[in-house]
Amino acid sequence: MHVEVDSLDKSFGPTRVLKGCSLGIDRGEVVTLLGPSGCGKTTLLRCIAGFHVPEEGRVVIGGRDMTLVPPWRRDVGMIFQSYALFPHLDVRRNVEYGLSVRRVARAERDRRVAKAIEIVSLGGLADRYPSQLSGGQQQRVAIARVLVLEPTVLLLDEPFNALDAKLRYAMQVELRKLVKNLGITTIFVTHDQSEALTLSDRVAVMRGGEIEQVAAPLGVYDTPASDYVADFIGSANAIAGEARAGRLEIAPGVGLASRVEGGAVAIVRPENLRVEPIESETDDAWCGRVGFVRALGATVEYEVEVPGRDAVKVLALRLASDDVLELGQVVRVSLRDPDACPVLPAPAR
Amino acid sequence: MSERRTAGARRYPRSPAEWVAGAILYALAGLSLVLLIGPSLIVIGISFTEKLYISFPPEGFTLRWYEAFLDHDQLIDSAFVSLRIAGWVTVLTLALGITSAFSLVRGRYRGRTALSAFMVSPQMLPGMVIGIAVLFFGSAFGFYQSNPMVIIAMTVFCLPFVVRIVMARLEVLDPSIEEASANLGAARTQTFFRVTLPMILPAALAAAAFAFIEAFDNLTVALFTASPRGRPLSVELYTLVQFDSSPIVAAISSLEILLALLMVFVIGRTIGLEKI
Amino acid sequence: MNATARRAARPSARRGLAEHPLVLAMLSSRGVGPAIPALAYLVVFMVIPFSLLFSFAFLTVDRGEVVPWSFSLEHFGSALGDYLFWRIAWRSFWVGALSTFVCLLLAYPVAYLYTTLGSVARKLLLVAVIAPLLTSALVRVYAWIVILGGRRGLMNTVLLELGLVERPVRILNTDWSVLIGMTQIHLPFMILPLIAVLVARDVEIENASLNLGAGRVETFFRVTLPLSVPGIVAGTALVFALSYTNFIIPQLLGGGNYTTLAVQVYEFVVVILDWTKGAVRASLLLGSCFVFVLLIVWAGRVATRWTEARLS
Repeated sequence: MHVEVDSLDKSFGPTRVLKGCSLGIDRGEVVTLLGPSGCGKTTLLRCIAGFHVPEEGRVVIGGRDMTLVPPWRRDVGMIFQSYALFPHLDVRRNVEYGLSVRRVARAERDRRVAKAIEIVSLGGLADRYPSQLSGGQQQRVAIARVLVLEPTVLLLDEPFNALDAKLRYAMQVELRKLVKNLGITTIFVTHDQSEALTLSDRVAVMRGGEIEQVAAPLGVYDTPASDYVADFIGSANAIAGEARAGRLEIAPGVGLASRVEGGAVAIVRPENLRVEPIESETDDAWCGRVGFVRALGATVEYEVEVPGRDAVKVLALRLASDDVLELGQVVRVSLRDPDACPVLPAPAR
Repeated sequence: MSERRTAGARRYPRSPAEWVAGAILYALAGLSLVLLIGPSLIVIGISFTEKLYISFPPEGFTLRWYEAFLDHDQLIDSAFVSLRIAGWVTVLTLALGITSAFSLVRGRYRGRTALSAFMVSPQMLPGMVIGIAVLFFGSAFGFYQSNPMVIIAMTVFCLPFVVRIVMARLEVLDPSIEEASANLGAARTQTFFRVTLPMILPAALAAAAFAFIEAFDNLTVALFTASPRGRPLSVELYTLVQFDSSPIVAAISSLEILLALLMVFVIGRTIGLEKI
Repeated sequence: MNATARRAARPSARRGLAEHPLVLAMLSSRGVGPAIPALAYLVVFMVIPFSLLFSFAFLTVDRGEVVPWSFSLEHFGSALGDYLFWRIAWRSFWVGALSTFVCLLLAYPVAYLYTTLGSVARKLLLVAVIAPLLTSALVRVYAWIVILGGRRGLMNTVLLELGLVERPVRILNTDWSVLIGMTQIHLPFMILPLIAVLVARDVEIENASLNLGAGRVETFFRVTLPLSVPGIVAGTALVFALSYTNFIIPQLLGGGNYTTLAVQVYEFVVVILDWTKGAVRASLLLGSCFVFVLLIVWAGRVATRWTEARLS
């Protein structure tokens, strides 16, 4: 374990923001903290950076207990959401700041600054001030400013928020390559699931101050630990029911193998469902009417209204030769692969 | 509660440099606060002393110095002179300040920023020089030191406060609210009296409080423009402070401190103290 | 519709005023119109009087009457050639400069700590800063006479009680009392601009500095302080201008013959009634004050550049 967070508790006034958060991250691993706003992900990151001291728990970095070590002695690099560049210093002096604080010798300082500026390809802009740079360039300065110190841990707080969609994607890819090449242990904070899936080796999904699940991107998707995770990552039909004798019936005649007994919920991904038009509805099959159609080009999303049950979302691949079902069409819904539907205990209400 | 106390206990150890810096920081801030508040408290304390002269610590408790002020016809008269002057200055500065603030914020013409800078420029001029300039100006036209002259000079002195406060309010006020009202069929004057005026009212009140207290208290302008007879309170006090050592000045000062606190309250309630 | 008919159609007198063509013109104007009364007022009662004031410095004025065709530079010349004038000017300058510096030293910590307080404490602190600002300067000068003055003043009572001195010391009517008075009276003018700039600062930038390895003290001097230079410049310029041109504090706390440029202006205009000499000194006072304020602004720029250069 390179970075280890052990049952952290943190409150601001009466609000408990972190409730016993624990997380272990290996050297060189890229981990994303994913969750909606207010779930405590930024607070957790700031506890690792040292801007907050948790009331309970420990932060261990590289085997050393850092809980009570102030931020300026942690050697943990952080990229801020607003970049927080020094507005009164030009690019070179921004990058140089950490070396200057450490009283690094002039010659070495110049060499390392030049190298860091080159890595983020800001060559001709060293004499500009932050206000004269575009958003993407500012972010590069923020990255160079941290990389010049050769940190072993890099923290990023929603770093791509201020960028437009195209640039955001390019920077994500570039950053992932960069930290992987340099072998820096990296922790991202984001509320954007596609960003999390693009960037990380593992995703930690947070909810209300706790970590709900930590797994590889596809693991979180395929085997979510809860309907919350399933709903947050991608789209999901959460179908509740009573499991009996190892079986959960999610629709007339449609049963899933279940390890849970009693109240249970099945996670059925829309792409695991198939619809086919039929003449009329019957009581002994899973069928309903198309209530909504969203034709997106490569795919079509249907919402099927099933009498007496929740509506189901269905995702179908589409070729130009395929017909798109019409609103009101009576359809039969069926599972492609019943084994790909995790059955979880029903959440406590 | 106990949970939060343990939370407070967990913090980074301070380095010696931080200890020293923190100690200096708090010591200077403490000294600063004592300097800000202390003198006023001492004056208020003195105003209740039973002794005939100023001494420490004040002895006993009496309201005789307040009574002495109320019985002092000349001082009471001058207080009313000051109130009248302050009243006129408030009315004049509000009338001139609010109208010009509208033009300076809403106007679309060249030189608007230069004009705003000009309008608040008296702020950079010492009251004394404004007083002298108006005195010289008056004398050139055979117009001598008098209360109207005080009002004229004091209005120059106080106008920037009003212009600034009202402009600040107008700038954050969304013109689309007024447009909405106009859209709903309200006549322009109706829009003004029902929508715009209520919205700038807090700023106008705060500006009035500011102008009033400045005009009431001001000595530097008044000293040059007030006539020797029927002088404002500040000028009377100026003489009194130099030649009278009885605690009557402390009593009057305490009343002025009370008036200042009242104005602080008005400003705090209308636009908030942060906006000053 | 003619004017009479329109007047008859009005429901009330109040509406009548509200619909007066002048009011309408003002409300609808996107032009300079509504600003004209104030503009005219300032031209008549500020611009012309100040021009007169400056021109009086070149003319001979006898008992409030201008002597015609008496233009001369001699009045300026005699003031600037006078050794005493320069001594007085020098005192005005250093008293103003020193009290401004002490003000800055005392005000910065208050403004800095203000930003760390909760909303209730902030309000209380603002009351403590703004109430003195709205209290008459005379009242505050009087308070210092009470504190510093005489054998039975507060200062001497305390010093004697503590046994720090053996007999009463004289503080009132010295340079010290003038400095103390000026500093205390102008403190709010320094605190408010500093609060404004420090409240608006982005704390994340300081966090970035901590993250890059600078301690809290170093972060303050390398980031917080340089970024608050605009507030320092504003406060310093304001307090210097106020101290430099104040004549009441030197007069009341400095004793009868403590003279500064501003005190001289007062004496020439009010006591001696030599308006020409008064106008000369008032012009010089105002002109030099303006130059010093510009110097402060310029020094602020240089200081920012210097901190940057020091970093590399």
